[in-house]
Amino acid sequence: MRCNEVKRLLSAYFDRELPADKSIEIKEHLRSCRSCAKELESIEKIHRLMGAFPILEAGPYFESQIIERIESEKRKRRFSLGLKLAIGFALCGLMLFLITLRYLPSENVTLETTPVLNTYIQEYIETYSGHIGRSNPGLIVSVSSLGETSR
Amino acid sequence: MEEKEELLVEKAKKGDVLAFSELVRKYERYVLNLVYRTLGRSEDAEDIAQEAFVKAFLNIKKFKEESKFSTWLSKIVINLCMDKIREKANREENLEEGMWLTIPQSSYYSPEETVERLEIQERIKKAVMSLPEDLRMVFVLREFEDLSYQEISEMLDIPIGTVESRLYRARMKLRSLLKDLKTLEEVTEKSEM
Repeated sequence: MRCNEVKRLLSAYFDRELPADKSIEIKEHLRSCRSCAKELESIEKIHRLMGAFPILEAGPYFESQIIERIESEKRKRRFSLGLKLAIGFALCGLMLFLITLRYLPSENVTLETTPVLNTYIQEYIETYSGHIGRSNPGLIVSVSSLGETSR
Repeated sequence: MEEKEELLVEKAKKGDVLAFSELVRKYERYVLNLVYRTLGRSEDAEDIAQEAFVKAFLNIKKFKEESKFSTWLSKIVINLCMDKIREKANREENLEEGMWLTIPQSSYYSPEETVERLEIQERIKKAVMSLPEDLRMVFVLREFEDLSYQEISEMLDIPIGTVESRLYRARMKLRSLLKDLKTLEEVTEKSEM
């Protein structure tokens, strides 16, 4: 094995993550190669240095704050579920109402107008039918029909 | 997984918050320091660690006993840290009240030695934090959490070859940054002479 290849594999060798045959080869190489052995020492040194990495300790309320956050999250979820259910029920009610309306017998629906409104509509038709008729004759029919119905 | 832990997980799955708080007690130091080593910020490490525990509780029904609870929990922490990294760039460290930094290996040191040890800690921390996030994540999981390449590969969803090459690059970078630094053992030996 060449030094370049050994050096590239030293990190995995140190972690004992290499297949057995590769590890044996590297071990053999390290016995006779001072440069690669020094490289392995530097990896070992980094590992030892990391033992001095600062350690954080949790504050005294760490655990109780987690419980509080969990309870608050549960409340939020319950509220959200309740809201979804309420909206669901409201939508169902609305749909039921619309379906009921759709199947009501049509003769029951009547259009009732007051005499004052009748007079107003009649005047309106008489005043404007000529003008509308000139620009759009089709509209006269619909306006006249309205007059008929309202009467 | 220990029987006791298994039981606590089962209870937590049924919504038992008290059982879950025992799991919190067991893993709080681990989770807190995983967040700290990954993000390098002490000021919001506690908040993020708590968020990770809350997520774990709310999703505990999804935990299948095929893996260790600690591995599953680490995955939540790592994903959360990745989100935080994406959210904002690193800020300057600012110690928050209620958080303590401790020097590993507690014993009595002279004032000079304490200062020297703190300087070493600071340089180590800065060096690790100077690593690009992708290298740092792999390095932290291997060096501090002692996960295998296979576990890291699954956790970060990257091939094992990538884990290996990132670790190699991380170590080479740290070697050049810390080559002149003494280890804590060397500091202790020197003061004992």
